[in-house]
Amino acid sequence: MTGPIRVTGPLLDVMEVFLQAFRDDAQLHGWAIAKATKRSGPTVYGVLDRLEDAAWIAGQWEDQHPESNKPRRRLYRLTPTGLTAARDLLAARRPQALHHKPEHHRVWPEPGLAFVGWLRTLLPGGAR
Amino acid sequence: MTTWQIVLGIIIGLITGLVVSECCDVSPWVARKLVRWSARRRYVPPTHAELRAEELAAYIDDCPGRLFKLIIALGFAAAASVVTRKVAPTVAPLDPLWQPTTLTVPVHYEEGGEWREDRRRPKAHVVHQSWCQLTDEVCKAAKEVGVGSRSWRRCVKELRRITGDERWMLVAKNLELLEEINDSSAKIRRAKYMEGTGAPGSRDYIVHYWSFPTSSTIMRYQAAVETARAEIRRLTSDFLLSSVPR
Repeated sequence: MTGPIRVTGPLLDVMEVFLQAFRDDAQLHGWAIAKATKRSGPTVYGVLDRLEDAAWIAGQWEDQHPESNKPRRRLYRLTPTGLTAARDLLAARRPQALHHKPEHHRVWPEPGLAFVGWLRTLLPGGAR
Repeated sequence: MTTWQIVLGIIIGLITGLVVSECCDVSPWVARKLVRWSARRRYVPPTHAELRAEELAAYIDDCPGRLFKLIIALGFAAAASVVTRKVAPTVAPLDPLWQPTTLTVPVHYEEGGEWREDRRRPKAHVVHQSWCQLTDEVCKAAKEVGVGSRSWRRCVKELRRITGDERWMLVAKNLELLEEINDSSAKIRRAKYMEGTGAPGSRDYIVHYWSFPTSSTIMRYQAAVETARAEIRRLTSDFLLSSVPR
């Protein structure tokens, strides 16, 4: 089902995260999206509903470990339609998102090794 | 500070600690229940709601901290209390080639006893009741898509216009047929009334006999009404599921 989709700030954030995940060949689950976008769960799921209805993203259940009694996560990825739409949308609304990795989407080192990056900056000509 | 005050303070401290600890232990369980409830409230097709409930339970499971899980779940519950969303299922609910049934109801009447104004005609009443249920169904369907009218013709016309679904025309034809049977069932009284043997104006002119639909006719009529109602519900739900608000 495709059609006009209401473009909002959270939607752009989520699209940005999805585009990044596509580049990294990764699939995202709800909590990862909420964490990356720094948006609340209901907001993120509202956006996911809209994107799924528009067939911009497709979800699939993760393979559950037979011994695990945890609920299954649902993993999402961009569809070809969604990829084109995300690129077009971000090119129009947030061109910088297509060229630069957003600050809040950067994968930071583990807290215990954070000082290594700082030490590297102290080395001659050292950049992170 | 006296000794008993110190002891009381220790006891209160211990009890408070136990209560807080217990609450913290229970809060993930409460949070899971809460998000499942939120999903069921927020998502209308129950199958979709169950899937989302499991997904949200996994979301809560991913959240760090016991009390944080509960806070997040409260957020979902608050959102669900203000937003109810109809989500299209992953599979099409209807076969697009599906067509409503063309109803046929053979009608037979049988003669009753002498007509009296105060005599009730339960069989004709049953037909009329079934017809009323059908018109109520049409009005309900129209109301669901935002049309408020008590006329079934207008409701069907608007349903066809709003949904753009030509199958409503077939439903309208079935409704015409069932309305005709209901009307004729009610008019038998008048037809018999005019068949009085006395001279016009005399008391003999009053009807002598009355007719009513046979039991098999009533059963066929009720079955036809149920079929028409089911088809109206099917067409309406198909439209509502396919017109997801964005």
